[in-house]
Amino acid sequence: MREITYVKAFTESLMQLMAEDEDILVIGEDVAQYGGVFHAFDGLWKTYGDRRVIDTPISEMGFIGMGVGAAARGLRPVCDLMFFDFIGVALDQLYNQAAKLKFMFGGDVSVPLTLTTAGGGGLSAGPQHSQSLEAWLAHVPGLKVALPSSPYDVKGLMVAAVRDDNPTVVVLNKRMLGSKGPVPEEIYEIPLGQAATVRPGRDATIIAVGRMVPESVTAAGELAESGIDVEVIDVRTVQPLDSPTILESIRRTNRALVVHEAVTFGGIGAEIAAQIQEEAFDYLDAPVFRLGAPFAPVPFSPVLERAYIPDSNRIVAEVRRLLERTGG
Amino acid sequence: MAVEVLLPKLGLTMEYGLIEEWLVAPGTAVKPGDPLLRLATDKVDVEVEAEGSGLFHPVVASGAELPPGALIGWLLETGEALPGAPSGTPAATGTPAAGTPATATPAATATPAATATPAADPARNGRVFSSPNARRVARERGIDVTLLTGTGPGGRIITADVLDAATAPASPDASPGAVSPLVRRDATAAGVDLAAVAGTGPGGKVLRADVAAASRPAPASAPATAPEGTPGIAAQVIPLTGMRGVIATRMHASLQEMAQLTLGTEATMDAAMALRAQLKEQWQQAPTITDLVVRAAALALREHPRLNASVHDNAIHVQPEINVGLAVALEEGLMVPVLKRADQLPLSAMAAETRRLAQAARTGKLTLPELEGGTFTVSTLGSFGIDFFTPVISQGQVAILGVGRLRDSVRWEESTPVKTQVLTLSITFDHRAVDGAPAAEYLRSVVSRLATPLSLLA
Repeated sequence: MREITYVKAFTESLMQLMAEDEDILVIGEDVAQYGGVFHAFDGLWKTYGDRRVIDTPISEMGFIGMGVGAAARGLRPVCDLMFFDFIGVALDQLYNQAAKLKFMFGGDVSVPLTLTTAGGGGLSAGPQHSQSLEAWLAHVPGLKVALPSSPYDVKGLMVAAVRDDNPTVVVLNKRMLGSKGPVPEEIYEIPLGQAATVRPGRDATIIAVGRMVPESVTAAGELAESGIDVEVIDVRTVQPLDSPTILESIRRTNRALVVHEAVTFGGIGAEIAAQIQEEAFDYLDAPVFRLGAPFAPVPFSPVLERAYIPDSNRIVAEVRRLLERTGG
Repeated sequence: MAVEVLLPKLGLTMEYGLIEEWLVAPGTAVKPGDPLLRLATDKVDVEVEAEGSGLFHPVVASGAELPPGALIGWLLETGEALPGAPSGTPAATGTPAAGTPATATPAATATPAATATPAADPARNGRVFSSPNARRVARERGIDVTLLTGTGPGGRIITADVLDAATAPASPDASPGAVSPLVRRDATAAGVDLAAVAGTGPGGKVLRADVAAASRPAPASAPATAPEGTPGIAAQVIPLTGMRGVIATRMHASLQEMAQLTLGTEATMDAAMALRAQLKEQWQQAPTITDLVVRAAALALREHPRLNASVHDNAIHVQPEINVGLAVALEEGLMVPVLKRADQLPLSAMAAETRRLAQAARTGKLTLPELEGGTFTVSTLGSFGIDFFTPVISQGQVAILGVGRLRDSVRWEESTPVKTQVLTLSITFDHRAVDGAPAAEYLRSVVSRLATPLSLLA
């Protein structure tokens, strides 16, 4: 299969979706002629024109509100929020309007809005351009949140998100934009709420989010050299969360490590750990470990940022700690 | 220096072993590999060999039923006294005469094993730290986690510790009054009050034999006159113990708890026999007819996993592995060694393995692991001239395949009779788990594989 970059898989998904459905339009800052700051929208304006690819001023509250309205009236808008960190100024449109309308109108209105954005650190972009805030959104009933971990998943999850009749947030990882991987040319969908077991194993399970998936796979490869066989699960979406896949794995491996880029405290790992102990307590051979960022803003200094975000080395160390036998 | 001889643990599930017979007289000089005794468990009879050299002195009588790890004798040096005996007492006087009833108290001489107790740590409030999974596995296997030493972080008992304990010889110093789950189950089944049973095991532990004795009704008074027998036939009482007892219990329980019925059909064996003749020339060990049928049965189970299952806890549990038990007739009963992952064994390997297992069964060399884990059984009575029979399902499984005699038959081509070879296969299945149609389909799948036997080589 041909290999393309993470960001091109994103562009291709929109190119193909917009061809099959004339109700799909893209709204955001610099998404038209410029193609978006990460060139994720390159070529869309040329193909689909001003009416379907709309540039906006810096006005997140305004254009996401516009997306909610357009969606409620029957269009299928894709709004792009340049950085995940900017969600704060537009949050009301998302959690109070988009997520609630269907419930408040007794199902008469649906909001097939997709919000695309770029999150995560590792590019020395500073505390206001590097955050992972998926747990905020996953907490709100009515929103779905996907964090693709590969070019293949970007396209499949984007197609599912745009076709979904409910508001969905797709969080691209900035540091993965240039990473390449196999992506089918035809259009395809990865169901929202279906985790992927990207590596089977029997000694422990790593439940990883977003860019921590490839880091975990690297860690698993390293651990395999010392005979430790680790299963890696990519949650793909944190809302809905594929709990059955996670629990089934834990019942086999008896040990779990949750890894994400977001701050550990109150992160999605806390939810996953809680579910594991509620549903699979009798199958645990060790406490569920979480590996995330410390309780501090993402540092600007590249040196500090490297220490801040988990990587394969730290995952290896955590798995070893999880499997530790001190006695005997 | 005196060396302990302990009752070996022959498999994960072994709880007791019966010393059937001492094979050496007290005081005999033995070396490693010399047979010491015949040991019977509820699954297997084996000869236990000496692991060291010395003069062997048993400390329990034959007939004693003891848990694995119990002290059963000593290997002494010349002139050495039995440990625990008053100094100067010659070793020989300490040994019981062969044939002494099992009520001899083996516990009196048993030395408590040095169990490493976790150091008392005031911060733990007397709690034994163990992982939830370790506790679950221990519960399922009837192991007391508080007796284990943890090797997990901070000395936590983890699953591996429980599994280690399940395979290692158990500590012989059972606490007084402790009763194994097996004995408890026996007592419940027999309506025996455990508190009223005098235990004859180590430390007064109640053994299965004690429960059996307590549940036996008082003997009725003997008939006034002995019945007149046929000349040449002596009256004989064969106790339902050992292998006979196990077969009696298992078969009766199987028929009681399952809804069993049997379907039969004829398998044309011409192609299979032709293939076998070819293989005979090419392979060192050609597969037997049974091998061909077992191979076909195992492959067909892949397509029909519902027949490779177990019914318990109000559910059908489809098994992840296909382990085919092979019923082997012996003089005094039968044994069912298990072909592990039979569907993944190439025919040549299977032929070798069945030969090895059957040989081991006949010479009493089967180990417990070789008898455990069966998920389906094949039983053959063809060599006894039987065309068709209704086998009884092994407990914990839902089906058993019976293989009849290979015989000549006639097939009609238009109106011309053609000689052909056939055998009858019968499948007994548990109707709780499987219905007639799927069982029939399974049987048809076995038959069609035997008709196109090249598939058995794949």
